[in-house]
Amino acid sequence: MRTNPVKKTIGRIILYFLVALFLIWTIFPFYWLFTMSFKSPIDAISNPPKFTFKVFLENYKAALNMYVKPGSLGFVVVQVEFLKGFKNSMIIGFGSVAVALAVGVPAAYALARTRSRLQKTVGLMFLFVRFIPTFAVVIPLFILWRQLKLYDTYHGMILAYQMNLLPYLIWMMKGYFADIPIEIEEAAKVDGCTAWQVFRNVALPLVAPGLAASAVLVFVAAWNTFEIGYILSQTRAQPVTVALTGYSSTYTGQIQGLAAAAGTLVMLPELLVAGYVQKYIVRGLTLGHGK
Amino acid sequence: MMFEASTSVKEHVSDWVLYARKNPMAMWLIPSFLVACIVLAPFAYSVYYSFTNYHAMHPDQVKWVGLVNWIKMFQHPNFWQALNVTIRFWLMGLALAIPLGLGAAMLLNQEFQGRKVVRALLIVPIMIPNVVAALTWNIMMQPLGGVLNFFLIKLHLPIQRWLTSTDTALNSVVIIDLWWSIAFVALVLMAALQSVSDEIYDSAKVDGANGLQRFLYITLPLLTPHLILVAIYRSIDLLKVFGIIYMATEGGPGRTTTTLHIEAYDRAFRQMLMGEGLPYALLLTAVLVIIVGFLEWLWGRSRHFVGAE
Repeated sequence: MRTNPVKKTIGRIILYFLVALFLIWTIFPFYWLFTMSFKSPIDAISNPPKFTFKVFLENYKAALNMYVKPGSLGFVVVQVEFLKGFKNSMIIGFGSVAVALAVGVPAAYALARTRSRLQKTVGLMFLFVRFIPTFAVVIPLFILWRQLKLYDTYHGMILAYQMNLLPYLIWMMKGYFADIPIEIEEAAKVDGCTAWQVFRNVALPLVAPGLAASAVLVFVAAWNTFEIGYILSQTRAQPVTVALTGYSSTYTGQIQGLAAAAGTLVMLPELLVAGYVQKYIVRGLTLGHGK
Repeated sequence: MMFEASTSVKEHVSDWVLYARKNPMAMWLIPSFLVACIVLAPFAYSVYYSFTNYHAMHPDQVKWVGLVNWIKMFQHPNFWQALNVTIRFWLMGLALAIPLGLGAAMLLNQEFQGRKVVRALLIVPIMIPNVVAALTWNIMMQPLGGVLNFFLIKLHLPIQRWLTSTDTALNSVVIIDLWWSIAFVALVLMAALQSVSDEIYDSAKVDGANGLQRFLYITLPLLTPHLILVAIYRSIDLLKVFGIIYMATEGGPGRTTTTLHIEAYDRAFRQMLMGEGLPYALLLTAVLVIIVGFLEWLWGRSRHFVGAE
């Protein structure tokens, strides 16, 4: 309207420059990890770093415990039970999501439909759970889990994971239930439905999309959990994030490519669901505050 | 929300009983409370064990030692250093993530080609495990042949030793944290920015306010509660950071990135002195309560000020 075209063009150029900068900052690390995972030991430590190189698949073979030609990864022998960690993370992830849904969804519904003091108490509790340093809980859990024979077992891990997952799930689901107009449920009650029937036949179908997204986000949160698994598991139930630390001696050395391949594999399942949960994620981020 | 005068416990309990009779749905909460107890009960245990000489190898010889672990901690130079590192990491992380995240949120709120895609990409750093983030940046930050130093050379800037030097290790860890925290702050603030109505900006434009004035007098005040909110979440994550630092430096070189949380882990699990490690974790809890409590108070005040309540 009154801005002159030259000024406007300069504004656009600056805008696109900043967007490009931001994109590089966000995406380049992924690009670098991904390309690194296809580099041979020699290409991986090349100085200056190589942007073009011959694709080298032995890293992935080694990470997935497949046969690797002797010597192709240098002299370092790394024994990381990475594939097993992957399997463990899947089992623990699905188990934790199942427990969190069974326990958390009815609780979220009850919270969404009750008066404010209860909500405040629970909100406070969640916040507290979130800000307790992990080791203030995990050290005694380690003691307890050893006594109860829950140490390094799937069910022990699933139970301990709930401290991160349950508040997150309840908070997200509470929001979705609160969004349902109360009139719909009241109409069902007038028709003679019990509280459970209203929940099961009216509320749950209405929140189905949110429920599905929350379940995926909880799975992602379980997949990302590191400290709990690091302390409460050893070999049998070790999750993949912990198995990844097994490469820590290698990613500074010649076989960074192997560590990069493992890192890429760890985040692969999450990249696959990222698009799906994109519009749901913000709600979970501000756990315990506002809506 | 956090610190308000509560009614007496008795009144609370009778309230709840009455409530449970009136509304059977309260029963649905019981399983969650039980699971929550799995977290809160060990926390109580933590306090108890911090007064004992619990050793992971000799769990049958637990003795009450009183305040010994606590006094030892306060007398130990490592404690003060770890506290210093914790606070510095928190302040640096917060001071950088919030302005940069706000900048990114405002940038992505502009109209440009491919905005949807760029916004969608924001969630990717947030979703991946922080140990993978640490691994990725560790590879990029290699002093020899690392891609960051390659860029610095291209830009004619001095190369860095990043995570391997006592001077730069903490800053480097802050950068790793920034990678995902900028995305986090931007994502939350973007949602907040959309709730500010365009009409306010339009009327300000009519009144002749320039871009800077609109930012200072409209955007910033209206966003204040949201800024404090992200400060709360960033503070929690920054103060109790473990995975990133552990994966990137294991607390080194020297003790330059050893935070209270790393120190608690180190004593409890590497040295197996759980009784000695717990005061570090509990003191960190106290630091969190103070800082987060203050920010919560500020948040309540700011909401009142903006008129959100």
